[in-house]
Amino acid sequence: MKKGTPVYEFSKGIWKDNPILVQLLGMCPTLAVTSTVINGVAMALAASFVLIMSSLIISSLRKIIPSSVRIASFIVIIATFVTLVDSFLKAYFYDISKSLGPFIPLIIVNCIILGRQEAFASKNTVKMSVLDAFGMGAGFFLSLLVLSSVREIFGFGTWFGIQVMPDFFKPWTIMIMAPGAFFTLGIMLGVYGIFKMKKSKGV
Amino acid sequence: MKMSETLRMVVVLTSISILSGASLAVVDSVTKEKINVNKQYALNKGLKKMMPDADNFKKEDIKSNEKIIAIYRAVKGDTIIGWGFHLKGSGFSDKIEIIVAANNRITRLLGFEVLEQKETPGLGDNMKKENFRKQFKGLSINTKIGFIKNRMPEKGSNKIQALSAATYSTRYLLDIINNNIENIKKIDKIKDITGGEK
Repeated sequence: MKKGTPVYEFSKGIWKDNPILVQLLGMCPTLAVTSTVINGVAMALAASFVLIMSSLIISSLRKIIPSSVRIASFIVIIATFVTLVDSFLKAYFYDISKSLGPFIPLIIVNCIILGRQEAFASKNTVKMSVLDAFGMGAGFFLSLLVLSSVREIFGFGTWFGIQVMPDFFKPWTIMIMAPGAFFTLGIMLGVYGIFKMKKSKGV
Repeated sequence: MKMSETLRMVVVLTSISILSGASLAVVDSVTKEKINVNKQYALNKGLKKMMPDADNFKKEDIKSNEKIIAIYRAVKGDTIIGWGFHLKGSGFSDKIEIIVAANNRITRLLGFEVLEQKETPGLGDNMKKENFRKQFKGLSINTKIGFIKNRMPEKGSNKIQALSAATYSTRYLLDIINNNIENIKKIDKIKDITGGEK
């Protein structure tokens, strides 16, 4: 796949430049809210929405915003969308907003979002920036989905709140605490590395 | 040239901020009511659950503060059958917001419901679970409620079994209940109705 094509800009976020597995950005929400799948998914969707909207606005304003105030402008734009999502969740998905707690407002400082604005949206066309944001959002979503699935299945014996483990299974409480998040993420990074190595050897 | 660059910075940043503020104002005006309704709904549901006999919960006209947010009087017909206290205080991770129900003379607990908490998932946040919360029913609030670890407390000891591996969450929760109720009992208006402390 060639750099600069729409397909490439979209798909790079999912595998090649995955924000979690390769760029290791946005670790705070990744580790903190993935104790259950529903929280992980809600966080990923909220962050992706903010990412896509910010990329859209920032790439269309890229010629207007002076480079000396770009970071300040990015933060204001990102913060606006985050506050919007926060109010929306509080109004329509009260329970999810309660369980995500302070992590929604913290999307403002999620490095994936600011990173993509600085590295991509401020230098590329609107179309490419939105594709890039969709790809990065999807990569973030998939990583969080896997991470939170592993943690919820071993930590609670459930997936999306539905019992999936047999009755005799005793939940591993450590999986829903902070160490469980680090263990799972570490293993995911390792597995990703093995895949990459195999692929490069094959070539 | 330099001047115009400075001016451009000011203009761009100002316009972005104004636009952002304006759009947030719109969003706020749309969602504000809904958010309050959600909060009030969760509160009323909790009160109703703990005091199912009441036909109405009247908010008392007292000065609220950051710990005692509101006091509700549960009435059935003309008689007061209980009280609901909307309390807030520090937890292990962040603020814990609860509603506590007490009997009409504020001597015994009827239970509590968690409105908001960010305790450790799987440990401290088990305070939401029925198994833990049902221990509070009937405890005396003339004296402080205590806790013990790892076993069921004796009957009449006015203690609860702490959440396992979340002793701090338990302690903070009890602090919120014990201290605030003690203060509520000292409020003159409440004293007049309940007949004071015995």
